[in-house]
Amino acid sequence: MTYLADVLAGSAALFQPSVLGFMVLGFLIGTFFGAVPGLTAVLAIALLLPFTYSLDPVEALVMCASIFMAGMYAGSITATTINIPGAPSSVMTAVEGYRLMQKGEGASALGHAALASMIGGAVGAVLLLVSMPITAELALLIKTPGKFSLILFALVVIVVAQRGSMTKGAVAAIFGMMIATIGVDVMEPVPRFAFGTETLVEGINLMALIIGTFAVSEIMVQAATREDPAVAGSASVAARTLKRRDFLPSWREIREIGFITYIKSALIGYGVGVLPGAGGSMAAFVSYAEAMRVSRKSGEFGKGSREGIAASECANNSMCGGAFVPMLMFGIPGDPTTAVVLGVLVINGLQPGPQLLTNQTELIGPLIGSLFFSALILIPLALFLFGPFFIRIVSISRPPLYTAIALVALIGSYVATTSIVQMALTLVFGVIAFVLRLAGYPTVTLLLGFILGPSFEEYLRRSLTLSKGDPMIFVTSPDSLVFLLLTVVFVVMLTRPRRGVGTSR
Amino acid sequence: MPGRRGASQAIPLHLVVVMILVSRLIVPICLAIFGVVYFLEAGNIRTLYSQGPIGPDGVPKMFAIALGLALLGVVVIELRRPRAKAAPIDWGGFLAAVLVIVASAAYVALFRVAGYAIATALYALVLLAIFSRAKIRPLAAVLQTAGLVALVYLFFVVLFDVRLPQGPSLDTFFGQAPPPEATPAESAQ
Repeated sequence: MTYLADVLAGSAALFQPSVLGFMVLGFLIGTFFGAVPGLTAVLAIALLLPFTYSLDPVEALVMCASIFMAGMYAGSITATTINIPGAPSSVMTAVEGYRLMQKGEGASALGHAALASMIGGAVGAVLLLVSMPITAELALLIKTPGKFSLILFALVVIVVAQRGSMTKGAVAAIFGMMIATIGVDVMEPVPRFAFGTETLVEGINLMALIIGTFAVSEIMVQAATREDPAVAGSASVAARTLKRRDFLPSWREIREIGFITYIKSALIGYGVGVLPGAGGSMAAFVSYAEAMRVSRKSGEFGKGSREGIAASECANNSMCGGAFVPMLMFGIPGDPTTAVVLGVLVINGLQPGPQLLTNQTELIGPLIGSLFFSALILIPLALFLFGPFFIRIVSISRPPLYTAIALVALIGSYVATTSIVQMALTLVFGVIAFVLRLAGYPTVTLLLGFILGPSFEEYLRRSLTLSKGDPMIFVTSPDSLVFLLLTVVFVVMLTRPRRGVGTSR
Repeated sequence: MPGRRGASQAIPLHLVVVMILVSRLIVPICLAIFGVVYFLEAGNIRTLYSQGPIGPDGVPKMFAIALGLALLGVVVIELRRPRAKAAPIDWGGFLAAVLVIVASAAYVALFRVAGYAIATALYALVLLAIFSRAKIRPLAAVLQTAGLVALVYLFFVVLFDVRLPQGPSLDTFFGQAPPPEATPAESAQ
């Protein structure tokens, strides 16, 4: 009860004007980046990373949580109105929502997406609040061999989740782990791969990697992509046809979808979010597939099913809460966005782990509060107040937009350390990530490999030191064995052939 | 663009296939070279004292071997993929991306030397031209450049109280080290 009281007391900080202001600002930024195809919430947080130096940690985390929640929801806007998902997690929403748009029921589809996002996001935040103490207790039980196996589990799941490009995912993850070894050894004060330079002895700056990988490479990808003039035209037409009064879902439609669908989707989304590297798109797809499987109106799926929209959006917003669990407790990002948020923690000198619940409840409270209020209040408010304007976001001219992003990215990488070397490194990683993306390598696994690599090495070496070189310690240690078995289970589950999902148009 | 023929239509299909194959293999080849250099350099890591069965060089070598095996898997899969009909290559897009890289490198090189305003204005102008495929009108380009430079300055300096490099000095032009930037305490005096 002390934990709950402390966290709820800490969340009162959310009502301070500056913190509230950053939450709203983060929501607006997240909505913009989530709605515009090609931009993502990950990119938004990556661009803001250098500024967290000058922000209070509470303000920085509240803003990041708000961006996360908004970005996950906003992808449904363009997914529904012009059949272009603003975020990968809204692909199934595009399948169903655009069909409804074509039938003249686009406003209703947007309303259902918002309602489901509200419910999912709020449930995810509550589950995060109540599950943290249990997870913290479990975390304390895990010893060194178990920690190694947990990280191995995370890395394997991250790679296997890249269905269709697992080998490339493995290459990217290993490459990230190799980059992370540059600098000082994790256990001895020995420089590695420094080539006699002072810069490399310090290691690769996480901020340079994040900004380069997500922001700078995106600029290059967008430069290589020709603008489709039809998109802006479609957006203008869509904006004119939507009426605010139609956003509110009818009670009859909500009952047809069923509260069980909402709750089950939220639980699925939260559970998938806890899995390292799984992300919103997996949460949305798994929930959508499950809803279709049990629905009494499964024939409507693929032709404009509100139940499909509800399942998909509820899950991807609930995922936001779940993704924070492994990140806060173990330093293992649950998805790409929390990988970048982990950077915010590190930059502010905060270490993930069970001690956050005892020593840093003033951070946990506002963070969870931001997720909850963003979902429950800001999502419906934003849709009702700004709904038709959001659709026009895609009409924004690309040249000044991407020029501005390039400037913020490169200058941002400079300001945090006033180092031209970091700025150059950011560009180098941007080029590397661009080339990898062209060749189909997932750069998210590169970042996650970079983040998890040092811990992977440290726990491996420590475990083998404890066992005097006997690798059987990973099997004889109960916590380690559990995670190794979980690894096998998830590999089997994620690699088995997937039943086709109706995507008829 | 209507009426424009794709550049690849002028290139024999078999050459396009070769080029795609090369592009599929270039990244694995480059990563393999990186892995070999990395492995060899790992051999130069010296330990100060023995602390367990795996030293500072052990795990890097494991990573290098794992990378090699994973790359082997990638190459095998790529070579076994059926040769689908080659899509036209958007050479214009590729060139635009290369120009962005070159412009960004020049920007980084000039940032401290030329100062924020000049370097950023030139960079913004070039990027606007690239993203608009050189269709932007000169006046619009100048206005947008000025707006972006001002906006980003407001964002960083005014909103977040960050110091950006000022204009060039004679010392920097004559190869001397650029003057150190004043700390906030010095500026306040």
